[in-house]
Amino acid sequence: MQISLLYGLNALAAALFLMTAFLFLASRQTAGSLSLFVRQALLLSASALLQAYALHSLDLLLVAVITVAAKVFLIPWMLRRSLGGTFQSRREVELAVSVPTSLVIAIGASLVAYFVSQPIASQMPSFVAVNLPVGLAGLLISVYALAVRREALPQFLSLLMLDNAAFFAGVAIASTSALWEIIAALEGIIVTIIVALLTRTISERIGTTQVGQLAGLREEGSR
Amino acid sequence: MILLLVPLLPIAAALITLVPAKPFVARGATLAAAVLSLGIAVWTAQQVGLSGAVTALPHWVGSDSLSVLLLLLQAVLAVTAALYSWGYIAREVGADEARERRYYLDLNLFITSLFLIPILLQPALTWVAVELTTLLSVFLVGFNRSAEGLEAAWKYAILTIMGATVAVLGILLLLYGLHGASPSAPETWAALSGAAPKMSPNLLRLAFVLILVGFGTKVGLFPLHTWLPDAHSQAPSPICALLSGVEVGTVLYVILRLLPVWSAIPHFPVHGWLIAFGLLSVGAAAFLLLQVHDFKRMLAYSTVEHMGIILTAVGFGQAGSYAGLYQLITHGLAKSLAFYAAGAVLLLYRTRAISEVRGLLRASPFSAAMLLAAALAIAGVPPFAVFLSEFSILRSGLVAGYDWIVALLALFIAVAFIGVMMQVGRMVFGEGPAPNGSLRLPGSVVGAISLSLLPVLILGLYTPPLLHRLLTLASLAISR
Amino acid sequence: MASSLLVNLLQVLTVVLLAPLYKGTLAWLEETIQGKIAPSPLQPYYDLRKLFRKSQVVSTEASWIFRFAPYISFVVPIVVTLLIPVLTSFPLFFAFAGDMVGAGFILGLGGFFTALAAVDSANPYGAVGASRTRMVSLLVEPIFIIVFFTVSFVANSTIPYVVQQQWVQSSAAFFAPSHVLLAAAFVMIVLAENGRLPVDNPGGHFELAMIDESKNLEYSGPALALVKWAGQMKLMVLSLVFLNVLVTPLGLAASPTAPALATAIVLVSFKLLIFAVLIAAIETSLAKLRLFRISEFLGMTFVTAVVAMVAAIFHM
Repeated sequence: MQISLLYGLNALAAALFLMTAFLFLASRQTAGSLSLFVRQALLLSASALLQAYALHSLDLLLVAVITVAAKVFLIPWMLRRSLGGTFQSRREVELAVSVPTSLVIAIGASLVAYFVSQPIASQMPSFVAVNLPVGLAGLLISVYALAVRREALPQFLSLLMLDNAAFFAGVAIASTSALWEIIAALEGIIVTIIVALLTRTISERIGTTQVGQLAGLREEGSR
Repeated sequence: MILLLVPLLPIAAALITLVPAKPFVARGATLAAAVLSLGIAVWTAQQVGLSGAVTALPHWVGSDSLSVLLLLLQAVLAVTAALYSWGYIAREVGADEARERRYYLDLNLFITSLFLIPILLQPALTWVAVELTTLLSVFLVGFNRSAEGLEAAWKYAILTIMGATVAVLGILLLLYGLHGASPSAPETWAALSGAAPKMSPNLLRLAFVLILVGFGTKVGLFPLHTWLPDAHSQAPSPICALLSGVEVGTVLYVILRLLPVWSAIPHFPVHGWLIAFGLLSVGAAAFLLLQVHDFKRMLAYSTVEHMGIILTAVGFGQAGSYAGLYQLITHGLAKSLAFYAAGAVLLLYRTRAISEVRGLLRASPFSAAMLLAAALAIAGVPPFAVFLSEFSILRSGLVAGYDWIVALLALFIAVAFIGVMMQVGRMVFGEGPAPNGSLRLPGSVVGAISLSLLPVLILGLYTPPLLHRLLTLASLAISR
Repeated sequence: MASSLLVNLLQVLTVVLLAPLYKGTLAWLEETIQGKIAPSPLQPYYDLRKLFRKSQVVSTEASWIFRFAPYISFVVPIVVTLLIPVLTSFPLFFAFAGDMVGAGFILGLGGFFTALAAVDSANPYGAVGASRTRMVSLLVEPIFIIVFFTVSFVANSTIPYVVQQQWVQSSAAFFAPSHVLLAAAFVMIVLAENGRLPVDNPGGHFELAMIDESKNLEYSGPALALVKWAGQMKLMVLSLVFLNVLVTPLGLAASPTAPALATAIVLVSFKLLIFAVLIAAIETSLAKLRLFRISEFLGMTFVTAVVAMVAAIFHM
């Protein structure tokens, strides 16, 4: 394949990746959020695959394979298995900030991401120039999504999206030292196991996963 | 090579806890592993004092002056926490031996992950270890399985994993810069510091922000501290001591480790940023301290305050770094003492509400005296060690010419002092209902508290030459 | 000159004559995908013929605005057709008479008069529909403007004929995030502006839920035919802007010769067919949004467009 076509397809994956982040911010249903996460993970592994092909990097290939195995199959399976009931409910997740406001903030986040990466990425090869700002924007958007969601599972899905975003920038910039990326990819699975266990314990002991409703712990000033 | 034993010993103890034997096997194994680790840490400290660094596996495992300081602190607290847990956890779980073994399994794994951070020489692996400390301590935080405990564990997990994920991008950027600057260099802290002047300043700046925010979350720096009072108050007391005493300090170590890298950025006021972030945390924590209703949360806010003080101190330059690192040690020791004493009060009264504990002096003179001593120690009163370090910090700031910042810092410290002493004074003195828990404290709890008091007192009066040498070397290393 | 004018005329004829077929094909595709027995793609022609034969009833309350609005809305898409490349890749006679912003204004004029006419008819549903359409347009217009800004940042021009060659120069430019996001935002605008799902249900007959259709409730006979035809042309014109200017300026005639133009008509129809399949797929997979959720959908579109612009500014 032509290298410019690889760059092009990677850019396509990046644009779609960013769009899934926006859609995630606007989505109110847990099941929909999960499928967005899976699609985003697919885009992430597509980007990793393209770069593995372009740079002849076995490590990146492995990262792509692990990403698909963990984030497309294992993590959704694990979440559905341990928290199936939460996914079945069609009710809407409570959001602290209205969706249009959140979307405006997402614009700000993307602007910041592009503004910050511009001077760095202009000196870097083309893969990094595309992936770094998109990953950074995804990072900021996911942190924001995490902050405005008040239930356990959506918060956790935001965290997984955050992981995706960090990796999306990561596959491009760390293509030279990919050994540790494999460690980090595997760690994502451990994180999921532990958080899924914790969520299940919470819903068993307390009967809800709306952590925003658990008002036991409050900041001192707001009492 | 002997340094490798430090993380391996608690792993061995963790394996022993898996054996379904009487609980004292698990307790004993944990304590023995901690004591042996402390021995190795002391030995390593002496070696580092002689030669400057110890290498177990080149480019992978080793220790220098900065990391051995932390290792010592971790090992001391591991010993006291293991001792304290002996009687405390037995009281907490009752006859549920499986649950007690589970506790010791988690505790040993958590200690392993803590030990790993200072001795790993590669930033990427250190990041993995930092993430492991969160993952392995989540269930310790939620150990009492109450709604509040689980909520605290949830906040702790989500926010600190979020922070670590942000930080990982910063570390990746640094590694990218390292490969650009010197392609064949090993990916170690030392190589990173060496190659920093050749990296792009923009890249370093972005990495700085990501790492400061990411790891700052786990240190509990101000706007991202919200999880800390929850987690550090809901966990069982020995775990609180480890979380507040060393875990946050260990993550702060990772930020400090990278200071030579940030100092290489031209026209970038790294020290200004550290002072700003530090002062903000000190101020916020000091005023929140005035409003607490829960004595363990009070100690947790005091941790936020102390992390801010250390960060500010490091911003003052080399003398400040010396004092700041000393504060890292003294705070860890004093805070563990405070949490142990608070745990004793909790055993007596079965409540964490300050308003329900009155007249502690009459109910239990020992815990009252220890709580008062701990409060004085963390508030920075002579002759305790924190006074010495805080005094040195303020002096180093004045010498470096930061008059206004020192004045603000002193004001905040005074506010925090008032907050802590007001609350503890109410608990210790006065009239109140008799405690509704058991009046007799377990022997190991008494032992662990007394043992923790010793270094807090000794270091306030006398700095051992080895410690002085290590602190000097470390402060020189991070403030090049 | 003369040939250029002739081609312009051919261009207008293509749009006027093919627009009902385009809409009919879209309806046929959707119903087929949903497993229903679909009306023939030619059904819109039958409808128009029937309506033109009927007589017109005008409310005594209505003023001249009500009577003139159908003509204005019929002329508006034709004027826009003169400005955009429909069949040719070279500029025609009116190419520089107005840019994309101008085309947007002209389309807005049509919308303005239909809304006025709907209020003028004194039918309460007309006013409801008019206010809803205005709400959607109000939210769509800034997105249009952002899209044009993005285009001008990339092409340094907003003349459709100049813009169209920008993105096909290389595959990297074609797949650039700014281009992909821009295309996505424009598809969403096309859906919103033409009363398609998820903003409005084109097949709905429930007055309370209508947005786009309720403006035409009071029209009958030839006037209704004109309004319907205008709507069909508007959909086709926006689709053509999307296909020929923003995404795939391929298959267009390079010279004003009869064979080239004939080929172009075939190829452009084929592109429209593919776009119709895309819209049908989107509409089949989405449910209609509640009225107050429309702002979220358009907010999403706005974000996409702005980020496309940001990416274009930073050349990434």
